[in-house]
Amino acid sequence: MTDLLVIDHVAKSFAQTVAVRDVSFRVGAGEIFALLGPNGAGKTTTIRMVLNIFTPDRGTITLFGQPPGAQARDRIGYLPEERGLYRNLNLLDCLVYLAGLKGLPAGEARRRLSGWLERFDLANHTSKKVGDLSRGMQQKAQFIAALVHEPELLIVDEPFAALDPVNTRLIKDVFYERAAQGRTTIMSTHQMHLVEELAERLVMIHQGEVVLAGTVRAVRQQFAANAVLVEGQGQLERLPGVVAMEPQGENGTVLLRLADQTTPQQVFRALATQSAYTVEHFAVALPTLDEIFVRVVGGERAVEVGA
Amino acid sequence: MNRTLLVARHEYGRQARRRGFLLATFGLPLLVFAGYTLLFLYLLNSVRPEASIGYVDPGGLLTDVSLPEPAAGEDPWVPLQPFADEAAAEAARASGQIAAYAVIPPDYATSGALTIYGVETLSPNGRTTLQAALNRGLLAQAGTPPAVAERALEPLGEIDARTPAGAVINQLAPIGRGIVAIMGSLLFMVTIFFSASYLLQALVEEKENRTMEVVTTSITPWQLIGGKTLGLGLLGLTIALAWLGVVAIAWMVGRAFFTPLREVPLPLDTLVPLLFVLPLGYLLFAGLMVAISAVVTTAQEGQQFAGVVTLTAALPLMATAIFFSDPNGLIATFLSLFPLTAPVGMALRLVTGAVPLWQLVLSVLLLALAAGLAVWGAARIFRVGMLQYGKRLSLQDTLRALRTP
Repeated sequence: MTDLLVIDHVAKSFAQTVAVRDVSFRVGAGEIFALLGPNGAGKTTTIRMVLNIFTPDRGTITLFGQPPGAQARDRIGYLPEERGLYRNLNLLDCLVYLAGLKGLPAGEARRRLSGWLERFDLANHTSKKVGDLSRGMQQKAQFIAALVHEPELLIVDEPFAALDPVNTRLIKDVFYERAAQGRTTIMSTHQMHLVEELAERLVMIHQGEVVLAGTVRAVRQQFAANAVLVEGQGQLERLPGVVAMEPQGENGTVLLRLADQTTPQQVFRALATQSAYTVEHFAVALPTLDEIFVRVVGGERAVEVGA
Repeated sequence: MNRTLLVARHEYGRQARRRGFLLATFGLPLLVFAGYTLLFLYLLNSVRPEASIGYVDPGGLLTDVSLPEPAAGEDPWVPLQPFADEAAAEAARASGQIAAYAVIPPDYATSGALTIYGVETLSPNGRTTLQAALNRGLLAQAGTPPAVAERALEPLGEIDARTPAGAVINQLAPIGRGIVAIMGSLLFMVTIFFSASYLLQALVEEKENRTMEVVTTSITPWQLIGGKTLGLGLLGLTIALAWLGVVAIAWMVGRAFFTPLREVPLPLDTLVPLLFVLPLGYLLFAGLMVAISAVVTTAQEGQQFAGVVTLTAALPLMATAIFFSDPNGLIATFLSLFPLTAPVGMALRLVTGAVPLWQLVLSVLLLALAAGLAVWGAARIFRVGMLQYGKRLSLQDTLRALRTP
């Protein structure tokens, strides 16, 4: 995969405050990439350095094969955490102006916007003042503003905040469509289940440093305990190499904690020999990103961390 | 479209649609114009000259008096009508034949006592007519030869004012200079301060709306500031031109109704050097407003800072009397050289006195230097302050921003 963005040992301080201590990661073309971290970790400062709003004190950033600059502006769409539109303008004028700043002629902007506004159920609100729209509508409008110029790289900070499930689905569909078209999306969010669902790779920043990086699956595996989840019918007998059996909820799923030397394959083979138990579902037990997030912020580190 | 021009067009259009702009541009001058028109109409009616004034003159003071034909452009005399006694005069007044009558006692020359019946006060024209008749009567009674009497009645009527070099001076020129000085500096202030104030408001709004972050990822801060400065500068110019239009109409109307105004020369050419000062002055104040917008968090807070700057810049207007009485004195000279007060100060001096060329050049140079410094400093402060939502930049932060390349 071609690297669209390469961040190499970047650091940034403001007066005595270190915002980013040492951050490195790469984002490939066509990826949906998650940038994670607790509040104040240095995510926004990193994004602002990519957007050339701030210049790094140390390290290098390569975007579209060059240092960030004016040439990259029209190829990027940005939905910042601090949402903002011109509250006194009507919706259409506001979006046409913002599209114009990205280099779209007014006529072309209106043509493209009509499709997006229709899709996001905002077509009947184009003559309303932005300030009169609901929070969710403003969020959708700003999302449209970020992608109407069809950017190669879309950076979105908390894109699902204030959205209902229907609109969340809409945004997710847009991410999938962009990925299918080879366009890249970097999303920063605290909604870990959406990261698990959408992102291929992630990086987690904590106190200005990368503490976790890799594919979502690899990261979950790195934090996995030696355990499997089993669901089935019948009486589950004691299995060799299993040190504990913990029922999970009411649906018959059982978590089997394995001895250090026992592998899931051994357990699976042993399960197959139990005639009184029919296996319906068998999976290696992986922690959720939510759990991993809390554990990492709490100081735990994965065995291997690779960008 | 060039994005600086796009920002300029957007800002101009956005602000021009606001009610505040329409009120400032057309409402205020039209209100003033309407007020003056009403006052003018009121005065025109309230000071309408009497159709005729009667007089009772037992001492015969006005017996041989005849008033000369009024000069071209002057109002005609109010007809004076003699009556034998007060009863006859009163009957004429009661019947509407005369509007009022004066009783001139025989000892008027020594006592000065005179009684008017029928009106609270005479119209200016009626008063001038009666005064001219009494002057001529008194001079005739004293045996003054007619030619001398005419001279005594208007001793300064034939003044020939000249410069030391011998060139003829129009005596109405100071009035014209005063009008041009006040109007020129006022329009100048309107252009600069309206524009700078709109610029401050527009930039703070970007922070208040949280749009700054999105905009600065689309265009450079220079394009943003440049576009706003251009668009809102033109907006200020629009207001100034609208006001100028109203003033020009008022002036033409005034000249049509008041003959003396036709003789007043307007030395508009003296304001030509200000064409250099106007853009520099605007740049200086625009730079200051950009810096203020980066430091503050709300438009209200910004206006408080801007008020101090505006007040300083308006100092010369508050000291207009000094510019008229001593245009080349220390205070007037200082105010025309100090960059913050120079735009208005120099406008006043150019019209009220002869400004040495070196002072004009020095003023423009100082203003250019200050404008350059303001824009340079504003860019540095803006770069740091533009994303400080809801947090005012401290003095320490501001100084650090100025030092950071």
